[in-house]
Amino acid sequence: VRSFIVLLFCLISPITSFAGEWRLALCHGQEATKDDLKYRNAIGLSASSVFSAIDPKAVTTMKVRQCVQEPDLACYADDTAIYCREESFSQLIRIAAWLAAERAFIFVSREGSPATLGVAPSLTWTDAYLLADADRYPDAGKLNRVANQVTEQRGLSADSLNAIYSLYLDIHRHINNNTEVDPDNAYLNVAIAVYRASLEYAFAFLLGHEAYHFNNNRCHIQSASIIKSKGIWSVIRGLQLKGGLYDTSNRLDTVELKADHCGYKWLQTVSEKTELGANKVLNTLARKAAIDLLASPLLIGLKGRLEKNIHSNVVPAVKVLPGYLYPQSRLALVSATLRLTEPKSPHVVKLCNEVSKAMVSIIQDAVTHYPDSSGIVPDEVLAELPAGVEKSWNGAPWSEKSHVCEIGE
Amino acid sequence: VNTVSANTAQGTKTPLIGITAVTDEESSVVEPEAAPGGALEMSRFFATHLVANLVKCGNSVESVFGDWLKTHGLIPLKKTTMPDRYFMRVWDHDKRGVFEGRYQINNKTQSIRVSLDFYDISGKKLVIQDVNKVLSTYKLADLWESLAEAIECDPS
Repeated sequence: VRSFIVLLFCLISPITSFAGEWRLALCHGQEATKDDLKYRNAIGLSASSVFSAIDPKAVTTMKVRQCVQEPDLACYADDTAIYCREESFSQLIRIAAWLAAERAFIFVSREGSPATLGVAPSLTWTDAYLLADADRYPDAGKLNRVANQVTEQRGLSADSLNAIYSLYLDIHRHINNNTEVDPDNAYLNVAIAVYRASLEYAFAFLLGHEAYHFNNNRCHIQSASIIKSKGIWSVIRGLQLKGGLYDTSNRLDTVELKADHCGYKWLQTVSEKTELGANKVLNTLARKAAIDLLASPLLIGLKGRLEKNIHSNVVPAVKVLPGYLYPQSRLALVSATLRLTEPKSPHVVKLCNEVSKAMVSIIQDAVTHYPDSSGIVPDEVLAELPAGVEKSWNGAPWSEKSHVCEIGE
Repeated sequence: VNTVSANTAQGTKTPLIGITAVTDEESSVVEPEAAPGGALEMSRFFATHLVANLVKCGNSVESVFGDWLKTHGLIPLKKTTMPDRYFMRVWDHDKRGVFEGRYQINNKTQSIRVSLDFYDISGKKLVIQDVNKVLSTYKLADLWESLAEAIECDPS
């Protein structure tokens, strides 16, 4: 049951901190495009769904306005509200829809069989990021250029990408207008199910982090997280301290660390509560899509910078936030939380395919540039990567197969 | 203002830098000047850092403050140096107020804190525009980085 959302266009009342009311304030800059401002309903639905999963009695209040003094970041929070940039959340919504549309074609064409989970998606997390970014501009030429780049790189036909785009638009049409989906439209039903679930996982982590700050730096969930009770949290956190794998110059701020830990608790709670009907494969597919979706905000940021790589392709640049865990650690912990709460096929709920390639590249780059690195990738990180990565790190040749998550691992 | 008031640094302080280091993520000790979360510009100058070990790094801290004073041509009015604590007070360029730098290990709470505060001669807290001017004039972002390294005796 989705809780009631109050859209306020006036000042939030002076009550501060969490008192049975989650407050989400969206603001947008002057450069926001028309497209950036059309997903308020979608943002509100996902946010309220997460807030009510965490506390069914709580009310969600959402306010929208132009940014006055908010920094140019995705989100921050104090004891008056959680403040997020509308442009950033709209980007997340678009990425989720691109990923869900493509995954729906994979799922339906295999009739929802477990084989679905072994298929490497044609549309990668960076493709979805670039397509979503291009789609915010009224000039269709930008989207066409990215689409051409994607079809060339991924061996995806123009017709296939057009079909995905058509389904992507259908998702938005139904979510933005709150319309019922024809039960016989299998593609759209699956796409919306994956879209909703993956977005709720992403919102759970992002809002859980900010809710910690909003709640006077206290987590609303008191029980221990699964990543902490299994010892994964302390190992991954330790990679950024003296004697660890990564450069210690980005010093961990305990407040941000605890806010992240709260985000993982929220993600765990939402993952444990999510059930997309009888088909277990669909549940697993949504968790996999959530990892691909969260790769964008965590590895590159939703207002990320694009740069040309050595092949002259435009790719998003990795973004390190001062005081936070490194992006690769934050994403590994998302993967661990979703994997450990996946009841049926945990071996495929990992950092697979293109996300695995990005992780390997980021880890190798980090170690290469840090002379004091221990050079030891712990089992807790390896557990989130396909088995082929460890084999390749141990001398086996690198190939596409190194990054594939096998169902039977 | 006279030397006496500068020596006692009366009035409302304007915190400029505050780094608290702890070894336990769950420690109840947090940087007292830190804003509750967020990523606003000033919050970077106030943080609670998680470190692998608490080490007496008074010499490193003194050296960093010493270099900073030298760079800006400032001469301390008062200085106290011990292995587990450091204190210095110094006029700013215009004698509009004094800076106070501190470093202290607290064995009871298993924490270390290093800080820089400013006391304006008016006795009032600086407004944000003046804080930004101080941050820029005295290159406090660089000092912050050096102090964060120094409390771990990190030479890098």
